[in-house]
Amino acid sequence: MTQVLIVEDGQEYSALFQRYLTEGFSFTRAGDGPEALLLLQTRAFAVIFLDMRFDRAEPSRLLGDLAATTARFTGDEAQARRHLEDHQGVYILAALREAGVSVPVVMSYDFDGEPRRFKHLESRYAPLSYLTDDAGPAEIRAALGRAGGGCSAGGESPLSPRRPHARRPEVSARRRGSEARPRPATRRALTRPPPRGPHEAASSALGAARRR
Amino acid sequence: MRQLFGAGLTLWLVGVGVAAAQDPGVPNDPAPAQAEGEDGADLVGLGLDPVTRGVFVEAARHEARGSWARAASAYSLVLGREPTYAPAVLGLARARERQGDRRAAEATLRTLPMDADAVEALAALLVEERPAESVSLYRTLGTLRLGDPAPLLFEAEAALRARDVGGSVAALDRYLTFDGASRSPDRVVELMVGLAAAYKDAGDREAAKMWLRRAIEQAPDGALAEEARARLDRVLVEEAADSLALGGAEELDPTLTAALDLARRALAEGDPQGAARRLEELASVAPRSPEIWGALGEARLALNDVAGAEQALMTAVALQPDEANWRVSLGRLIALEYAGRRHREAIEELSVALTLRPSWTELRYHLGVLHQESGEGVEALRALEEYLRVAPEGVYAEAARLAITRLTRPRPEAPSVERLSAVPPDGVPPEAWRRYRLAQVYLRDRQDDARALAEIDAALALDPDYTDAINLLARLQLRAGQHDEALATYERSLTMNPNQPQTLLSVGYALQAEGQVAKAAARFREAARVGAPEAWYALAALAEQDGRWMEARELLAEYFARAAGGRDHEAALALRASLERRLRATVGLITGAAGIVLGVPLLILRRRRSGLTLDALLLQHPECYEEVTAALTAMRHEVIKHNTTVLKTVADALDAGDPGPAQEALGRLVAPDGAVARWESSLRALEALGAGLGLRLNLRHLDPALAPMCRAFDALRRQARRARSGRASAAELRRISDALNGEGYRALGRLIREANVRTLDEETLRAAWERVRAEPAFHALAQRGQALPHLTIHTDGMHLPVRASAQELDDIIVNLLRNNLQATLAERGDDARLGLILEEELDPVTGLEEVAMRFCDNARSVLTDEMIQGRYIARGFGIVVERVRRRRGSVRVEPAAAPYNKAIVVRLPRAEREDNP
Repeated sequence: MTQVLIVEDGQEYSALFQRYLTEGFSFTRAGDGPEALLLLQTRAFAVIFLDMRFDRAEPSRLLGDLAATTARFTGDEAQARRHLEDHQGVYILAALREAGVSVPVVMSYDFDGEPRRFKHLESRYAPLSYLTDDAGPAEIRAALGRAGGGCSAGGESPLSPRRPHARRPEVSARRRGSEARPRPATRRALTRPPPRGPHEAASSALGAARRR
Repeated sequence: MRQLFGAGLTLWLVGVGVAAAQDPGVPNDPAPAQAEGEDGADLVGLGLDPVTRGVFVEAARHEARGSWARAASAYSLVLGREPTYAPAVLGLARARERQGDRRAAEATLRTLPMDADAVEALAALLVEERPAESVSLYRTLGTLRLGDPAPLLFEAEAALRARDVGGSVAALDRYLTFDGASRSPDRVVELMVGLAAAYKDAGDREAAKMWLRRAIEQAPDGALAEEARARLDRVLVEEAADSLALGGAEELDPTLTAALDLARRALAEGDPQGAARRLEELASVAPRSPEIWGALGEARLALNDVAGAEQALMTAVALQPDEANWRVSLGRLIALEYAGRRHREAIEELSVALTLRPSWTELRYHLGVLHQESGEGVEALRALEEYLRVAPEGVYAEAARLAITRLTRPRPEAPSVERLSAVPPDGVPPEAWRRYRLAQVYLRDRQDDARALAEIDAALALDPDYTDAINLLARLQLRAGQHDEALATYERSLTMNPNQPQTLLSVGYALQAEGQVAKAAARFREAARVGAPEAWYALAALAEQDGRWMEARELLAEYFARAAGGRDHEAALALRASLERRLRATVGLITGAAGIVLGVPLLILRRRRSGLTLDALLLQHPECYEEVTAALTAMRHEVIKHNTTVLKTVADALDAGDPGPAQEALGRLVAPDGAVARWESSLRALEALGAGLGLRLNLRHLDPALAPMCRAFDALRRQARRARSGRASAAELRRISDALNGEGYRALGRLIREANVRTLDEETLRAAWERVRAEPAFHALAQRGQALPHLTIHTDGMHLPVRASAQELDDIIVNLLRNNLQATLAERGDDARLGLILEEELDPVTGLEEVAMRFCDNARSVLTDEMIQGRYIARGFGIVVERVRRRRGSVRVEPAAAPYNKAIVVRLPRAEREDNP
């Protein structure tokens, strides 16, 4: 039985999976990032199925630094909140990896249209794969099977060592054809302050969530 | 010198005499005769010699005709003989002032320092420019006219202008205690209202209220009482608002800020009702927030609640009296909503705002306009010139220059038409002509029809064929209600001269008034033939009344081919609009009837083949991007995801002989709250969006992305009906699944990602810069020899696709370049440095990429994120922030490396189109 943690702000995936993926899988739902992290501290899962948009989650439960994002969006808090909602899946993913969770993640998002972005995320948060929204039960079953194949009997223990995955050196801002050119001092990554390590942004996001 | 004057006078008199000898009409001209008759006693009384007296009469005559130069010349001649003759001094001063030479007028009047009339005239001349001096002159006048209270009132007015409020009050009090002081109640009330304004400006609200109350008591039914009451009410409201502001303005916490933002958005999105409701609630929670009251003022104004808006803005002003924004909003409301009745208050608000924020250059222009509309020429001129001094290429520079030209334009001398027509028409005896002109004066100026008729009878007795006189007789007869006689008289005139367009028109109108339409039309046609464009309109009006609309339209076309203005023009325009409307409706009815019989199928086919796609909508209206993508995202996430994605699975079950899953899934999909209903709802939202913009979207039949999905949903409905009786087709369900979950899903994604994607590169940026340089203001600067700075562009050869339309990018880039150029040129002149750097940036956490445009300059003035967030009005950032926000980007001010001082950095989401052609 493959233990699958579904992280979504609604109940749609849980209902769909319960209805159509009844054999070989066991599903547990978390409604937001903090709840998923809590579950992962106490239980083992073979695979995490992670939604991207969390526009129905409690604003106080969203991961990500709302104040910094608001400053980035010229003081527009509503826009900042929408940004965190629209990309919450990635913030949760970053927090999972920052917390040492190396369980394979299947994201529900159309990265077909954003291959550059997926390439970056994959290099940073592997093991990672995705399913587009049009995937039917058969495709979902296959994807979950592939991702959780190595631990179908149960899943990764919270104490098991993390699986290493390759990471690309961090690039916060770049210019094509002029990588060697020194950047102006003012140029920074979009997150302020720029993360020093691969998981730092996620931890700061978690910190922000806890502070709230 | 005296001899020279004498010789000149003699020559001038000889000239006049010759002219008079050649013009037999002049001696009998009633105007000079009248002047001579009226002035003669005065002249004799002062002992002018006969020759000088003649010159004086001529001078008065020239002045009466508006021939200022001639009048000045003649008055000068009189003064050469009699330098202290006061009427001539006053006349010369008047003439010089009308010629625009105020200095010469002043010098003239100063030659009689102890003549009451000259002193009064001098005081009046100086009151606008040098009110303090005017006060002193009025005091002198008071001593020269002992017993006359008027100088005290003038002194009080002048003292107020000189901002000597105490002096003004003292003079007014003395005036009011004088006998007969109630002769000018309106002036007294106006002065009291002015005193109240002065006390209010000085912060003495009690004194202001006292003077306003006195003004109302002085003339409770006078013309100015309403204004005084409004001002008193305003002072009382301000007092109330002040008491509210005792604790000062309060800052909003993030929650209230977000709520305020929501309300502002509602207002911006055209929901003033909702915005006002939210803001009222917010105001009850945070009653000391000027931002909330300011926004409430805007919302109420949008609801046409002018009084409520004004009260809200007054509260904002009271809460934050040192913030210029609220005062400007309040001032503009007062200026625009009270038809000029409260311009004085609007001027006060804008003046204070300008004091608070002197860099707000446009205020000077608005002040100038308000002064101009208030008839305060000197103040208007001062404000407009000040505006041009600080913003010679500002947005209102052209308008300000035009206004200054109008304010300073000297009055032209009256044309010498009388000399051109100083001979009677051919064959008309001079006496008949004189009588005719007398009749005109009696009719036109005195409305004395009886005497006019007597004169015209006399003229016609001298010359029975005098057509002008006959026409005037007809007009008199018409005025007397003698229509038949008038028509007969007109006919008599036309018999003698048939080519009189205006007479023909008059006859036509008289006939029309008598109900003789056919005869009227005949006369109008004759008038049209001899060149009266109004006749075409008159014919068109007749045709329209007769129901001959097509003919009326053609006749109107004839009229418009000949006339660009005139007494009937407005009526002709209205008639044309009315005719076009009715003709269109008629044609529409006929076409509609024919269409019902013949063309309904064609129409349906045409409707299906016409209309716009979503791509076209976004191209025409990029501002809809957010709403369109919201609808498309809803289609993807609420219709396809979790819903239609099960179709293949239920098809598999059908193939396995189990119809249950198909029945259950299809039943859910077509349920009232199911996926199909949600699809329809999103589709209708998009169609409504287009309709709101006046566009018909054809998404169901023409749109390349949505039309196939609509067909698939139709098929899905059919399959749902068949599934109820166990007849659903697995193959058809798979086909529908492919159409919706495969191609449809991808097409929606492409639309969301790639709608309005534009590439930024050096060429795009350079083209925008060239457009800015070519703008009239900068072009004019370049023409005047001002070197415009070079813009250094760094792109490293990148071509970066961003999610924004061409228009949005143009708005952002052009506005920021223009702002940088204006500010830097103003502050650094030839040392201005401008740069534009294009970069890619990556958010390492989310993997999102952005394109950053850094607009660098070396202007010294401070610009902050807060100023941009507040859409710093003087720099016009509103449009930039709106466009960037719409595309989920950001605008910030950041430091910049030398030679620049700062950079305004715009970040927009980068598209991946180049990787997804």
